[in-house]
Amino acid sequence: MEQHVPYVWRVLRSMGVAEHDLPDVCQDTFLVVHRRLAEFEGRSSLRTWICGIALRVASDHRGKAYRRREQAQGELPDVADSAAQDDELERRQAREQLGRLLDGLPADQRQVFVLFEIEQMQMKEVAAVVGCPLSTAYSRLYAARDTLKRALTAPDSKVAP
Amino acid sequence: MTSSRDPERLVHSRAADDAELGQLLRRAAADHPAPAQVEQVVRGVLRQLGAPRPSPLRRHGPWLSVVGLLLAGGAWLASSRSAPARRADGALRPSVVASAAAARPQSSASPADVPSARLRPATSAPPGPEAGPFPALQAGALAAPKGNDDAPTRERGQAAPPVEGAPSTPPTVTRPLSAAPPASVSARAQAAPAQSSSAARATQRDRARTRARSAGAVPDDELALLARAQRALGQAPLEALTSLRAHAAAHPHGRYAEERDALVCDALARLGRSDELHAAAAAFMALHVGSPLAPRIARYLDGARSAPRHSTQSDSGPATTLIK
Repeated sequence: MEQHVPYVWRVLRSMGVAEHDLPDVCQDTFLVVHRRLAEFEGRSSLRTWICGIALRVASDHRGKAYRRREQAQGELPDVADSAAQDDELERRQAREQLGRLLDGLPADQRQVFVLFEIEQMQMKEVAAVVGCPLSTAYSRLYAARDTLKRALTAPDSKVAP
Repeated sequence: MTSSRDPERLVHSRAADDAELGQLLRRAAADHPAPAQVEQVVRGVLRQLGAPRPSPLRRHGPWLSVVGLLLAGGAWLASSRSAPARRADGALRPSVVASAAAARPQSSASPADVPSARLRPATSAPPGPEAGPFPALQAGALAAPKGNDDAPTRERGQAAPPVEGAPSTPPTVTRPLSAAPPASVSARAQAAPAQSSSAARATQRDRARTRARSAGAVPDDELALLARAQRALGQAPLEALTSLRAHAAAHPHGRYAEERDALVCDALARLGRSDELHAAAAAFMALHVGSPLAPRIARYLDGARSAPRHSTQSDSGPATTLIK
């Protein structure tokens, strides 16, 4: 299971699960995987199948958080900040910036973009995971790219929250 | 990983306008969780998978109360057609008392909440504890022999606390799928209502003894009975049912009670006793909520639906004759 946790973690994070919820939602994903493992037919790779489950769990989680009217906070507050944490700080800022950009995408475009660009899956796998025709997956990817490029060039895109 | 038809990924793009987005994506792709976080997830999953399931009655008490209410409603419907619930001296028939107690909600039931008036019969068939709509539940294939008063009379999760002061309600009457029918317990309580508290204490002692036995190692005879039943299941389901009955009598809360109850359903399905099968399956679903064996029980029910329906009463007699 350890080999699957990193990409599930990344997919969940890219799909908008807050940092402090990631361990719990990741656990939920693997519990679903365990429960449904008997249904895995081997038509796709195990990674593709697990990514599909992670997408649905993330979607459920976001829906629940919305219904609970939770205020999602990106990160837990830091207790201390030292020079040794500069790298982590930089990574966190990049993560937050990408998160804000991805938040501006519709969910279907976001799924395709994350799986193709971050998880580097093949487009036919992406189409299988999100359950759409291959051509639709392509169009969603291009639409997402256009939206993100426009958002990056917008003047307020680099403003820290 | 890239198909020839796939577009170039932004992380690999050399175009100037893709540079910033590509850099963000490269960072995101390399942003792995810390080993401690991975370990936390793995430990959490393993803990949840390996943790013993809490008692279904404790987790799903309200739902089971609804199921019990439905069962009691069925009992009332059938008993109103077949047998009187009240004897000549006015005492409720034990099986009806058991159904009423099973229908009692877990938390806030009071004696007044039990619809005893609705349990009264409309016809005058001869009274007897064996009559009822769910023979397998009330005195049937899943039950221990009559007179086994030592069997615990409440499910593992302690569904409902005993109601004190109820004039026509015995102290402990609900029972698990595999426990003995409480006919004699109920009769005793009616005969000597003053002794109800001591009877309840004795029942609690029995229950504690059973729990202590269940908490320890699995007794050899428990496994032997199940193995015998499993071996006989294919060729002689009736014999298997007898072994399972013996298991239910000896180990009502044994380690393999869930498997036993599933085997009972299997045996009933093989015997074509669809009425008893439906009752046993309903009881299984109520007692073992979330069981991994539930799909198997559903398959038995599907098989019974597709097969010609046999009536318990007309073909093979009531379940009590099956297990005696």
